Amino acid sequence: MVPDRSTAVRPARTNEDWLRDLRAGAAEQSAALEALRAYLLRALPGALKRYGPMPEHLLEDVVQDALLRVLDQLDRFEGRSRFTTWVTTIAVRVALTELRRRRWKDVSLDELTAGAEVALPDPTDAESDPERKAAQLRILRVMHEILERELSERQRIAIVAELRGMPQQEVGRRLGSTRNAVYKLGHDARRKLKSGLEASGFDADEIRSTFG
Amino acid sequence: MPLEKRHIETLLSAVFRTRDDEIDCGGCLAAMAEFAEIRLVGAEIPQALRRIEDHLAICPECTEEYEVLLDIVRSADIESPR
Repeated sequence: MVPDRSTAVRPARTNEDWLRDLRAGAAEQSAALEALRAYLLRALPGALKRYGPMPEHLLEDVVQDALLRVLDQLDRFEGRSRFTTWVTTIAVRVALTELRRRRWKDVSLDELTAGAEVALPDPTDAESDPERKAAQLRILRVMHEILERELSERQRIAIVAELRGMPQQEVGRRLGSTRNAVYKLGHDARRKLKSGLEASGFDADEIRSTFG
Repeated sequence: MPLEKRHIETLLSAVFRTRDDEIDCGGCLAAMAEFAEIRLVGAEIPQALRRIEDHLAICPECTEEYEVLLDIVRSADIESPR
């Protein structure tokens, strides 16, 4: 049974209380987990309603998974925030990871990234300033060259999939990798693009003024 | 299918925000709670947390999670004792 969300009040314990109870014997730990569970069951539905109604069983599963992670990662809590805020970050990540998985489950990474290897378009057809149009084309050619010749296949996939909206965790799931590893692929790709553009004489201000 | 103009602009924006010492999504999660609480009271972000700000400017998934977190923390009883 999901509690009424109208009063998602933080349980009144200190950080030290939480840590002590969660590390204590079965009775104290069980009571602390129940308090966190009740808090998350109240707090999550309202914040997640923008993604559509969340089935009760899914919400229960998300909260259960989040609490297991909290117990597993308890030593990583450094006391720099309220304990409940830290717990909430974990629960939100678990919830959105599951919602993203469901939203993207039927989307093929191959189809999403197909054709991107030669995919730089002409700059704005509506652009009437010939100098600006020429500058845009020069930048796009450099980007095209880097995308084609300097990025690895996985780096290119990571960049294109993200631009087309697929979450990194879903890219990772399809590549047999992790969200952090996909972020690293994208980071490495962005670094190559940045250094390539800078080596060709383009800086951030110029590019902003050319495309802005 | 070619990348659209909006994709190119998004990519260029991310490219020029790129730093060598970026944190990944795991690093962002580890400090997101502290970052959110500081933001909510309107205090200055300490230097050590600036990389969270940089990461959020680039990572749509962490930004989405951060916004949901802010909604929850705002609606909870933030006057409760720590």
